[in-house]
Amino acid sequence: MISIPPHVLEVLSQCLLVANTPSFVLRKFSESLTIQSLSEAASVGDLRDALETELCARPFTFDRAVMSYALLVALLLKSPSDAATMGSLEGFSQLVFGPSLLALRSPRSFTTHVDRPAILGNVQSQSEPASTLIIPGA
Amino acid sequence: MPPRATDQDILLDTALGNPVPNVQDTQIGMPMAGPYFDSIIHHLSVKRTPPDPRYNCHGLTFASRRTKIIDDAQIRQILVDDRYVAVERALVLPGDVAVYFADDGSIEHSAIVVSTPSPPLHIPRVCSKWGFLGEVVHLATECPLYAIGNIQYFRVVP
Repeated sequence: MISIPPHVLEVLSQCLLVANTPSFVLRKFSESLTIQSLSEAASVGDLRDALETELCARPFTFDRAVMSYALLVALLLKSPSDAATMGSLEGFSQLVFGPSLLALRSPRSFTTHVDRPAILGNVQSQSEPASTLIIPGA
Repeated sequence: MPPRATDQDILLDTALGNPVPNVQDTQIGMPMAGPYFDSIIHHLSVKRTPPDPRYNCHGLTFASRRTKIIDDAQIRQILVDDRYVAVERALVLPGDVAVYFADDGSIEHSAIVVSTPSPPLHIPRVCSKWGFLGEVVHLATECPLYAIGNIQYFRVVP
């Protein structure tokens, strides 16, 4: 049986509650040392069985949703190709970010790096006209 | 129905006419999450609305609450195409936008500035959507788990 310490689940719960995008879920869950350890220690079969158990449980509570995402991310870290087959599990549609997570071949492929300020100007003062904007690198 | 670009639930373009992929959900993805709201909201923050599945934080900030923008590459595109420029925190004004950058450079969250920052810390209040919970008005740095260490502010300047 796979279990995650309550204090870890609590943090993961907060991550899920405030998640606006699947990449946020993937990043935050992947950063968890517990999930990383789980990914290394458990087999694909164990993770799949545990995920299936969570998804089939009734009622499907928020805590079970958190556990399901934890198991899914552990699977993604361990074997993206095996994780990609999880979409056929009964109850998988309860995970609103699930399909998006599975669409990723690997966690790294989803993160978009932003060349943020290099292409943008800086407002130095509220009263300065746009013509005085400083464009880095210009 | 007007033609859509790939992955567009509604028509949404940047100011330069580049299509912005978006998703417009109709069902609350996690209805059982609501009771947890009070457990993570700061006592000085204000719950503004219950959860609405139609939009996410980026949809609130950049699409008038009409849809969800999922990929942070689209936010970057909007910042460029709409001619947003970076604003120093002390000079931020209501109506500016706040973008939260994670350590790896990806965009983690966004919000609309709703107050002028006061000294000495010059941290404005913002309105943002907290995932499955709803809209919250809060100090830009008082939100759980978002990348508050690197918040950048932007403004469209004619």
